Amino acid sequence: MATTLGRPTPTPTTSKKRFGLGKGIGFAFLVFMLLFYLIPVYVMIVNGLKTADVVSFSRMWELPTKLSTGGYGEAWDKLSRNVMSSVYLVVPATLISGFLGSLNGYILSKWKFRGSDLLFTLMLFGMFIPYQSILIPLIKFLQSIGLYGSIWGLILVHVVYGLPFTTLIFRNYFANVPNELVEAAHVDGAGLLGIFFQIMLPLSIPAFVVVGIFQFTNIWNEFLFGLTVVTNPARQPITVALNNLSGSFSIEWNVVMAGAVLTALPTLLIYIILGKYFVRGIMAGSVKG
Amino acid sequence: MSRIIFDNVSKVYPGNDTPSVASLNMEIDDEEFLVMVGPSGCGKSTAMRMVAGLEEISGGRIIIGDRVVNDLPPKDRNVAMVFQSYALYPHMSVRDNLAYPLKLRKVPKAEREQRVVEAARILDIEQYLDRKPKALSGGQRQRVALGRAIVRNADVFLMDEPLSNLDAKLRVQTRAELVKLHDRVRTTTIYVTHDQTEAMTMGDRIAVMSLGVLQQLDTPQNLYDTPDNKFVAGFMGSPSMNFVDVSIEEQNGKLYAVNPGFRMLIPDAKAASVANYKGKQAVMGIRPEHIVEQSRVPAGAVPEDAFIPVTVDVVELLGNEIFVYLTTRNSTLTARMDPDLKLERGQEIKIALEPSKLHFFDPQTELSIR
Amino acid sequence: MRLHPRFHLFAKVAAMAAASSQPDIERARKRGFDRAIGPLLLSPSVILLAIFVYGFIGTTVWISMSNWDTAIIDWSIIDPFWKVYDSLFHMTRFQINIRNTLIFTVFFLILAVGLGLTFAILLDRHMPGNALFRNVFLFPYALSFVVTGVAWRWIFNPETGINILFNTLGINWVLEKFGMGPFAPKWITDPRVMGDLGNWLPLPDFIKAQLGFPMAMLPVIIAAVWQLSGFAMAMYLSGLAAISDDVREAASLDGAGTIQLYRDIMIPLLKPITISTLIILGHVSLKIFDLVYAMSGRGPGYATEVPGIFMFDKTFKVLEYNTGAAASVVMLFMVSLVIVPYLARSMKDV
Repeated sequence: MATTLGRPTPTPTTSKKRFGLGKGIGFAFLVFMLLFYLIPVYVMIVNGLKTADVVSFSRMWELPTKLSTGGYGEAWDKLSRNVMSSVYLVVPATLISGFLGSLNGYILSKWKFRGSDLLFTLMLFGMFIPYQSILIPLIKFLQSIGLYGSIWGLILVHVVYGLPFTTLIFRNYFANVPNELVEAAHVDGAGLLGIFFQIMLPLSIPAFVVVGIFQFTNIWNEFLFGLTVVTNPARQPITVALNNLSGSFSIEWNVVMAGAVLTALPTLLIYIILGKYFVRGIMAGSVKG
Repeated sequence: MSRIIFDNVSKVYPGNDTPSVASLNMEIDDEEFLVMVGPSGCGKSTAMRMVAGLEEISGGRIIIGDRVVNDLPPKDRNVAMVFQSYALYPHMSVRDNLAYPLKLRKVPKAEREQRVVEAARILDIEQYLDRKPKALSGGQRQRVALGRAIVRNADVFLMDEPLSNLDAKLRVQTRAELVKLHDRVRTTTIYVTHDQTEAMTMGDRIAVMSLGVLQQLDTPQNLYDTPDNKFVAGFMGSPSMNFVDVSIEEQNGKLYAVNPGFRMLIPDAKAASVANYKGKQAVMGIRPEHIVEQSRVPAGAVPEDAFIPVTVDVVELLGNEIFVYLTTRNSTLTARMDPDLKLERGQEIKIALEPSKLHFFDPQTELSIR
Repeated sequence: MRLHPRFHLFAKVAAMAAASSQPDIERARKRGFDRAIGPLLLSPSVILLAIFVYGFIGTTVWISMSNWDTAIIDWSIIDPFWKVYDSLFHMTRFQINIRNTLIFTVFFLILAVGLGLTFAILLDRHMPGNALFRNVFLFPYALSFVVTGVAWRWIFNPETGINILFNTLGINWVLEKFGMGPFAPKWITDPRVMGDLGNWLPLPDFIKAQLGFPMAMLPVIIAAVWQLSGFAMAMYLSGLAAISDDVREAASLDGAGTIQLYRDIMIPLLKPITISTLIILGHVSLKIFDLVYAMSGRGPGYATEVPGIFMFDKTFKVLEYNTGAAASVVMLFMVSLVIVPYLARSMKDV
């Protein structure tokens, strides 16, 4: 019964992709911005690879005539101890704040009590404050408990001020785990901690990845605490050391640029390898998730 | 108001070997209400979306009115569409939702307002005009979605499963209202659904699709009575038609459909077409309502030895009727019967099949034997 | 006997009902116990934050009203108790700091959010090289402000960086052909302040700072936009992905072209994303410290100094603890103006 029109001639396909004027302008704009965004990358990489005798400001845009890793060697000599400081700082601080955050997030999402939402909001506030507003008492407090000037003091600081963020990510993550799962485990006889360790923790690997990435990045990149809590320049974190390096007149410019690349590399690698989680964390971290 | 012509239309998604819509030829008359029905993935939505301009056409032409629309963007086709999700603009009031297409077409404000109110009156949503979609029930949102279509005086209405997000009762009610609405506005309509009941009750004609291919296009009654193939026969009607493998045998100049469970005389009206299958296999089809319990067969209408002994397996009560699942020696049948029969599980009964309602299909091509 | 599927279902339901009729009392008791240990497990974090956030803020507020302005701790309250704030707000330098923060925040937000939205809309439309664009625009977000500051500091140094690039690219050669001077802005060393709000509005007498645009701030704004516009883009891209295709399709059938689609439908629907992005980036810019510290410091005539740097300077260089504390309280107040309503609103939504 299908109605056919006289001759079923196969008409040529019309599925040519339209790339109109508007899209062309948009594309040109994106390319222009792309080049602009790569300017600092170009400056850092190109000048870091120059030898000390050709790295003059007047030739900063030119490609190196011969490649040299001397800048990187010297930067590593000057910064390696600070890189290790940052590693000793970042790893424990990330793990501890991540674990505490997962426990907090679990309780605040699955074992709500009266006032728990308010408590959570009050905890969150700690993530937004300018740290200058707690800095003086913080330093006096660290001095009084003997942790001032040490990496341990800095670890404590980063754990505490990392808690709001880690709690937020885990709370939003666990809020999306169905309550039925908790109830089913309860019916099966598991208690609060049993459910946490046997059900929720294994489920929360993606949240741990997000928290791990962001805590690592935040702490690695942090500057103010590193500058004020640790006083010995040899033990200050890498960001502080880089800033000192760049402010020192006796250091050649290729070394500073190489140092900047060294400082950026760990977080950049994380971004390149785990970019998907990075974007997920950006959304999850915007409080409402 | 416009007719719609599919001229050898096909759609192939990049990376797919098989076309999602294959050489579709179909002409939808002006003012017709055409229902496209089929299981999910059969290409019915794709076909509709090509009319809307939301999918590019891989081959062939689509004509609306007198225009080939292949290269027209959706906004220039003057078609309106009702989405399954309703796709209302959540940040606009009902009034602004209805007025938006008119605003884009630069309809003067006074006329815009008048047409919005008129559409709202037809759909009985006047009192909600200033609410946001969020503050409406599912049924009300559905009406707003319809309103956005009728306010435009579009040439064509496209409806993509518009009732499937409503609860069962509202769905039946809205079904009837949609038909009334179409009687009133007479806009050519393509209505896509996977629900054969909706198709049967709403369509002027029904296009049954499967695997990207149009199986049959006809009025609901013709589809039901004379399906072109086994797919259409099985898809239309609920519970579905029963299919039994039989061999066609001749005895004393009469043809019989034979199965280990029964031996069925083929009436003369069917015999001519089935004769070609003499000595071969065929598929026999019978609808559940054409299976009759012995006590309900008028005396003498069926010879005693033509009754088929069966066992009642399951009885589903529906109030006004029952669905009975029956087993014969090697097949199962579903029958629609009278609850007064008081059938019980395990009971042995005898049934007859209405001879004039038998269907036969070729086992290989699955085409109807006519 | 062959059973109809529904019977199996029934059997399953019956079995489940039987299983759940175990003694409920035991479970209820256990649940009560669990309810009690929940807050207990939370308490270490809560106590730490109570001290490190609220306790320390309280202490800072106290210090800001104290006589402590030397190396020796002095907790006694100054008379009158607002005296430190009073002199702070009368300080031209601090007035400049506040001006700088506000100018930086406004221009940074407009540019970062505007660019982020533009990138997201363009990349939402399946551009060739989509992934490359996204990654390049977002990667600066992973860097430290210090790295950003160090890199851009050399680019926006008038003797070195970008001005040489203008020469190299022949832009200045073209300008001179048309009789115009070479384009060589002084960037982070430019002491000029463009415009003055005082010319337009009657301002109270105590405001001595010139309320205009400090030219040295421009490079800092550009660097901050470079670092954070990718964040805005990522927010908008997720927002756009969350808008159903149906709504876009409905709009295109309603007659909306690309411009109308974004103007009337998409951008209004992205409003919650815009608000979140503005608040998150806004609070970052109100408390900005690292970037300015590493890039330009105070700037010529405090042209790029912000309260964060002022606080650091007063507290750790000249040991005027009460003034440093007061500056930090002002920072906290500005940040709270945007953050507290945001937190209050999100608490209501949970």
